[in-house]
Amino acid sequence: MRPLRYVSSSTLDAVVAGLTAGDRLLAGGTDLLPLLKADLVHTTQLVDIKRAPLSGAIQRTPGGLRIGALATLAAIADSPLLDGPCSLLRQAARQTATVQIRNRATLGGNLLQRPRCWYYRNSRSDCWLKGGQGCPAVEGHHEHHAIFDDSPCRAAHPSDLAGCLLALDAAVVLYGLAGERSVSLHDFFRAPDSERRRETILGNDEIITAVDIPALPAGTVSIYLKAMDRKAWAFALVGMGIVLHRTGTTLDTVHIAATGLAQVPRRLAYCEQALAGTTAADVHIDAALQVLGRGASPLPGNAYKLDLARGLLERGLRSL
Amino acid sequence: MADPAAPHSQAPVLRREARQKVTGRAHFTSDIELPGQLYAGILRSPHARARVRRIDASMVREVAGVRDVITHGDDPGIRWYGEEVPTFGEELRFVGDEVAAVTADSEESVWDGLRAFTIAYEVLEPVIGLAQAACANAPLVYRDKPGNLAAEPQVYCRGDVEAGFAAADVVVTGAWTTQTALHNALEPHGCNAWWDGELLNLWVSTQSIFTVRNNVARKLGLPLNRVRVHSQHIGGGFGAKQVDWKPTVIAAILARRSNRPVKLMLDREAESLAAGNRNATRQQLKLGATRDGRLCAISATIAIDGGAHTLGGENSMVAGCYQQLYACDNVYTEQRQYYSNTGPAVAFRAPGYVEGTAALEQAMDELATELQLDPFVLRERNYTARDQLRDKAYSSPDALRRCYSAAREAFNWPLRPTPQVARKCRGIGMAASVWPGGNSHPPAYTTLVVQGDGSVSLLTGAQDIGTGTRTVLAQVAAQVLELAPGRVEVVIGDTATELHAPPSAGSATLATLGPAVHTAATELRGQVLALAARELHADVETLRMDNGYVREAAGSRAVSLADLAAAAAPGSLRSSGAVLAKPGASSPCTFAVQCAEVEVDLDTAEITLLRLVCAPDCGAIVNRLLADSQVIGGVTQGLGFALTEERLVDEASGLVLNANLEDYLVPTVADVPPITHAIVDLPDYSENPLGVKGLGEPPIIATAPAIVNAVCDALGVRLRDLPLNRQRMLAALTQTARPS
Repeated sequence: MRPLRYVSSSTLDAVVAGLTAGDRLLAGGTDLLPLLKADLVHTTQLVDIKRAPLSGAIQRTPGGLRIGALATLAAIADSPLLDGPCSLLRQAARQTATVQIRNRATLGGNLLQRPRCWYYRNSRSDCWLKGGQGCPAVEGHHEHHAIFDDSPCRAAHPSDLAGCLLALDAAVVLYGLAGERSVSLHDFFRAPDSERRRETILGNDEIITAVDIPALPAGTVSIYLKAMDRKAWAFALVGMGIVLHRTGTTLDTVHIAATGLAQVPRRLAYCEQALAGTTAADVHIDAALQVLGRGASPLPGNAYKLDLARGLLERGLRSL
Repeated sequence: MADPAAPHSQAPVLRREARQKVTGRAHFTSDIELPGQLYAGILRSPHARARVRRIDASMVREVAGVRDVITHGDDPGIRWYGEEVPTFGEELRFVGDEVAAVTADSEESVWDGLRAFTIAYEVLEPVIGLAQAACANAPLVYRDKPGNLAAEPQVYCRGDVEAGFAAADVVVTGAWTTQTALHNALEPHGCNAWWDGELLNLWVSTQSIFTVRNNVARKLGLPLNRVRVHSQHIGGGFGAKQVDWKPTVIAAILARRSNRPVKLMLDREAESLAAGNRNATRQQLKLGATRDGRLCAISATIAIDGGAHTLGGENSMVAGCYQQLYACDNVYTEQRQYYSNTGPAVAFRAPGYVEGTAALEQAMDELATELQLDPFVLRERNYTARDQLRDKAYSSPDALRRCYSAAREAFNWPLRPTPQVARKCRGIGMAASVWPGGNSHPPAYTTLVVQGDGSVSLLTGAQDIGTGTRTVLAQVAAQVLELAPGRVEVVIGDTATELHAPPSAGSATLATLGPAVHTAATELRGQVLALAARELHADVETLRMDNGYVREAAGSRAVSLADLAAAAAPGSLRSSGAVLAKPGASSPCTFAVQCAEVEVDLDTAEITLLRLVCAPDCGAIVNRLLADSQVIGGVTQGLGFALTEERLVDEASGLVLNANLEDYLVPTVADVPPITHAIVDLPDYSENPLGVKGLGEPPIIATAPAIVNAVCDALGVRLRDLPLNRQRMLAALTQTARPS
C-alpha cells in the first residue's frame, strides 16, 4: 500500500515550506485526486488547505476586485459582485463542469489544473509532458488539442475561467518562501518548454492566494461563449472571452481571450488590434475574423477550431 | 382473438423495486460482500498486439495483502470465444486483454499488486480500425485468418439486383459509416464467487444467469447442479452482459485456490476496454427507385469491425434492415466481419439494426429529396406487410403503418414551429425501423404457489436488467388471479429455481415469460376455483375470484386463499407454465417510427435537439410507466449515438483514449429534449394470448437517422458519418447555402 498522510494546514508559511518537501495541496481535489489515481502526481503527504489562512472571499478592493483562491466555482457563478464588467466570469463558471464539481472546485485549483489531453492522462501512454519523447497527439487524435504550436506539448488549456481572467487583465497573488508577489496572468501562464514541463511559472514553493481584477470603466461589457461537444459537463473545444468598452460608438477597450486554442489561455492580439478604435461595424468584425488564425498551425484534425473560434468571436462581438 | 384476461390495460403500475433502488437499498452485484471475502483484479495488456515473453510475479507476491497470483497455465486449459483463446494469453490482441490476476485482502492491495508485475512484452504492429484491417498487407490478428476476416462473408440475394437498378429512374449511392460505441452500463461487469463445499455460488451482473451457469460449469468441468448463479438487481447491460465473460471464471478459480469468496468487479476503464462495444461499420449502399418512388433494387456491402474476438450472443445483423424494412423484389447484401486489435464487439441494444438503419434511413431520406417526395410518403409507398427475409407475413402486418400515423400525428409532421431564431436554422427528420426481436425465446418455465397464508409466489429463472421484469410478471399473474399486483411476490435471479428463462435480450422477456406466467396463473385459478367449489358446495361457474377470496357471484359466501391453501393439504395450490416452442406461422417483428426537430447554429454548428417523437410497436402495452421508460431510455441512448458517443482509439498504439466518463460523452439531461412516446398499443396475438411483444430495443434503432435527417434538412447538406461531432458539422456548414 502506498502510504499517504493527510494533514490540515496551519500557517501559510508552513504550507509553502511543506511544498518544497513534496507536499501536495488539497482544496477541492477535483483534479488532484484523479491525477494521484492516474499516477501522474506522487506524494506522501496531502495538506488540506481549506482551513489554512487562505480566503475564498470575493470582495471589492481599492483597485478593483479580489477573489480568494479558495472561492468555489459555484461562489463565482453566484456572486453579484461579478455582474457588470466581470459578468463573463459568472457565465464561464456556470458553464464549467457540473454542479457537484462547481461546489468543490476552487479558483486556485482551476487555474492550476493540468491538461486534459487524453494521452497525458492515459497511464499507458508516454508523452513529452510526462517526461517522454514527442507528442503522440500530433500523429494521433488531436481534435481537442492546440492549434498554436508554442510548445512540444499540443494539449490545449482547459480552464474557462483562466481565459476570462486573462481578458480582464487579472493578476494572481502568489505566496512563497520569499514572500508575496503579484504576477499578471499574461506572465503567469506560459507554454511548457524543455526547462519547465508545465503551464505556469508558479515556483515550487509557491501557492496562489488570490486573483486581483483591476477596476474597469463603467459601461464595460463582457461575454463568455463556450463551444463544447455536449450541452453540459465538457471542456471547451473553444471558449471565447470578450471584454469591451465604448466611448460613443468607438471601441476604446477590446480584450479577447480564448481557451482551447493554445497550451495556455491566449489573448487574440491581432483581433484586438483590428477592432480597437473602430465602431465594430461589419467590415471591422470581418477584419478581426480574418486575422484570428494568424500564427496558428492547426493539425488536420483540429483546423475546425479556427472556424469555431471565428463563429464564437463573431457571435460575441455582435451581441455586445 | 382477444383474451378477456389479457392485462391489456396500459396500467401505470410503479416499478416494484423503485423505492428500493432510489434509496440505495437494492443490492447489486457490486454491493454483495461475503464473510472472509478477498478482492481480485486483472492485469491487462498495455499493448494492442504483443507476445508475453516473461512474467515476473515475485514482487507481486511480496506486496502486503496479496494472497494469490495466476497467469497463463493456472487454469485447466479453458478456451474462450470463437477463436479458442486461453484465459490469459501469451499472445495479446488488444489493450486491455487479460494477462494475469491477483487476489488480495483489499482493493488497494490488489492495485498495488497489479503495479508490481514485471513483464517482458514483444510488441508487435497492431491492426486498428476497418481500413487497416481490410488492407491487403495488414498484419494478421490471427495467423490462420487470412484477410483478417472473422468468417466467410454473409451474402444474401433475392431477385435480380442488376435488372432492378436498370429499371430505376433514380439511384442514390454512397458510403456511410457508423462508429464504435460503448455500452456504459452504470454497473460494470463483475461477480462474487464462493465455493460452499462443492457448490460454486456466483453472484454475477448478467443478463442471463443460465448462460453463465451452463458455460461456467462446462469450462470448469463441473456438473450443472454444482453451480448456482444469483443476480437480484442489475445496473444495466444493454447486450454486453448476455454472454459469460472471463472475470466470472477467473473469480471462481481464485476462490477455489484461496478457499475464500472472491469479488472481482471491473472498473470503468476495464469496462471500456474489455467488456464489449457496438461494432463500427462501413456501408456502401445503392438504392434504385422509380420516378413515383417505388424501390426497384437495394444493394449493401457492409464491413464491420468486430475487434479481437468473436464472442457469440446475438449477432450484429447490419444487413437485416435492408432485407426486411421495405418492399423490394431485388436485394443484395454482403456483410464481412473483420478482426482488429481492439476490444471485442458484442451485442448492443438492437445489434446491427442500429448501424444498418442509420445508413439505410439516411439513404432513403436522400432518395425522398431526389424524388421531391415527403419522407413519410416515400416510405409508405414501399410498405410491406410481409417479412421478405423469412418469406412470411408479419404477424402484425399493420403495425408499421400504425407507427407511421402515430408518429406523424404526435409530431404534427411536417409542421415547423415559428418563428425561427436569427442565425439558427431548423430542420425536421424522420426514420423507420424494423427489429426481428420482441417475440418469444423459448424455452421458459414458471411456477406459481399459493402460500399457507394466501400470499402468492411467482418463481422463474429470469433476471431483471432494469426493465421492470418483476413488475410486469406480477401484473400478468395478478390480473388472472384478480389480486392486487402487490400480493404477488416475484422470485427471480436464482438458477436454483431450476426454472429456465431466456436471457434478458432480444426484447424477449415479456413476450416469453408473460405467456408462461399467464398459463400458470390460469391453471392456478382453475385449481383455486375447483377447490373453492368443493369447500363451498357450489358450482364452479357461480364463483369468482376477488382480491384473495373466492366468492359466490350471487350469494354472500366466500373462502379465502389461505383457507383454500389449508384445505389443499397435504397437497398444495401450485401450478406451472411453460413456453416451449414458437408458432412460426408468421414473422413476429417489432417496428418503430421516430421524428426529430433540431436547430443548428449557423455560427458555431452546434446542434440543439428540440423534440423527439418515438412511436414503437410492442404489441399490447402492459405497463405504461415501464413502456415510457424503455422509450425514453432507448431514444436517449440513440441520440448519444447520433451526436457524441464514440470510442476513440489511437491508431499507432491501439490505446483507447476515452475509456472514462469524462471523455466518452454520454448524454446529460441538458442534451435530452422532450421525448414523446406516441402510443401504438396494437395487440399481436400471433404468439401469445396477451398480445404482447418486447420493447427493449425498438426505441433506439431509428433515433440516429431521424436526427441526422433533421440536421440535413436544416442545412441542406448530407452528412454520412456518425457521430455528428463539431468537426463534421463545421465542415457541413461551409457547404450550406443557408444564409448566415
